[in-house]
Amino acid sequence: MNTKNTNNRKKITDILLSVAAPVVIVVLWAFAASGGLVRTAILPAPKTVASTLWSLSESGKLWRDMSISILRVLRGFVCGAIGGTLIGSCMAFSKTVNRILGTMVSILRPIPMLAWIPILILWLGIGENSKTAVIFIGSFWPVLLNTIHGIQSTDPKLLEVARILEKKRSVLIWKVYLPSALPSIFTGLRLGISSAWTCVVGAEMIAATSGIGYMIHYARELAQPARVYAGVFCIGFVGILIDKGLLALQKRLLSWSYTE
Amino acid sequence: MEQKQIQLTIQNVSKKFRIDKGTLSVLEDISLEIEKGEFISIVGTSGCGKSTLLKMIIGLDPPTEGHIRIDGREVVKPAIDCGMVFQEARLFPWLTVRENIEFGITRPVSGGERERLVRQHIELVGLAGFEKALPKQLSGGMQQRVSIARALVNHPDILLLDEPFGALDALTRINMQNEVLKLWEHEKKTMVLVTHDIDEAVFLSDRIIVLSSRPGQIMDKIEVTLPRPRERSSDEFLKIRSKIFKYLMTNADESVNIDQYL
Ligand SMILES: Nc1ncnc2c1ncn2[C@@H]1O[C@H](COP(=O)(O)OP(=O)(O)O)[C@@H](O)[C@H]1O
Ligand SMILES: [Mg+2]
Repeated sequence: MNTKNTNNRKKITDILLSVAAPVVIVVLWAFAASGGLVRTAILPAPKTVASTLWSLSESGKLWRDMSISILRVLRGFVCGAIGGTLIGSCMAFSKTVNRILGTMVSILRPIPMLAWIPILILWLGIGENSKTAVIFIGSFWPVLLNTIHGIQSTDPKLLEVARILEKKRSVLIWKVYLPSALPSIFTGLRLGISSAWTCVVGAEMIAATSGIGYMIHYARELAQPARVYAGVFCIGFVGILIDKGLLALQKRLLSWSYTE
Repeated sequence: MEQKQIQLTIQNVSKKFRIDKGTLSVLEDISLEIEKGEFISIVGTSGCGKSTLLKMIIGLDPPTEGHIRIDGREVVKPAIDCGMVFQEARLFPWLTVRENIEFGITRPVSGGERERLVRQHIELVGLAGFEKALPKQLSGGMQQRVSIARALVNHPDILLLDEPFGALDALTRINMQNEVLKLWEHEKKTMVLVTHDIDEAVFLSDRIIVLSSRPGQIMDKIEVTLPRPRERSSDEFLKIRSKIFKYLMTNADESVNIDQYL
């Protein structure tokens, strides 16, 4: 009973602490706006942003742009996740593959995402394919690197156990290497999807006629700052939702890897 | 008269490791014959090459010189007729107790037989009711029992134990020693136990091999003929114990902590 109470109290304190900073900032922001300390053309009042958000979602415009962006992210991310785990596994399991692809990886990986966008537009045109490709690349790297790292850091002591039991290589791969790499692969997926989300907004700002990134870009051109902030808020919000969702999934599926 | 059958032959085995400046001689000229069904202990200070010897017997690491044979055949790689329990339980953290033990089965067996084997070994190590538990939910002693069950479920002819109870508290250790003794009497397997606990060696073994510290060489092979279960405070027990203790003390590095052997 008593410990339950303290636990609850601790939980409430934790929640209060984690929302304290955003709340303080919004309050300061509201004061700054109402006191005329900042120009509303640069920073509209939180109230204005909220009502813009409301009217955008009521008219359905926000959902249309959001769902277009989310679909793009999913398409690119699924390709990137599959590609990253497959190629990562091949590189981790085969020294030859690692040698063949290793140099390519170290050349291509440092190229910033934004630099890819013009190249991909040249290759694939301005349509959906170039956007999918940008997101693919963005989510591919973290998944690839974390898959390789996860497989390579399999405990050699567990591998010894499998070896003295005369297990075949396929059993080693499926029953020892991959399960032990799963937490790391999952971390890669989480990093990959946040990177995919960053990429879609970037790509839509540079070349698109739909999506949340386009909406923000267009609102700035029309000098509608409240819309810009509403869009940015949505991006952050969806980003948090995705990450928290994946984290919850990871805790559920890989509960063995969490110490209580 | 009972026919004695040699199962494991270690013949003039030496092991050297290459380290950056030259070689490190870890074991030198080890010769030993182990009979089928014998319980053998190997004692020696830490770093004298006990684990290295077991790794060579199981085929994870080849000897630099000499031969190791099981049932007359040279050991070249691990084989399921020889099982091993390590100092740490080395369970797969993502598998339940049941699944960890089932992982020990490598021979092709039917589904029903698999089921029966696993259940039988869970009961053998007294873990009925914990089938679905994950390793992290078990105490150190229970984890070690799972790892013993995993090694036994394949029915190896020889079981190598590398300081299997080293990490356990004194009371759990004594319990585990009793359980291993029961197991050995029940299954009649050849057992090779590496330990730095002299009491443990005297309590369990038919024969105790005393190794010197670096390079490890056999100082003595001591037969223990006391009837089992052995009384740890009997005169004969204490005599053997102090004999081994003296061997190790005259040989120990200054850095070795004496408490470990008391
Ligand atoms: N793979 C290896 N390479 C180099 N030195 C090793 C290797 N394995 C063990 N050694 C060395 O061999 C010695 C004996 O090790 P080990 O057999 O683990 O001792 P024990 O089990 O008796 O404590 C130690 O000094 C250790 O550092
Ligand atoms: Mg050792």
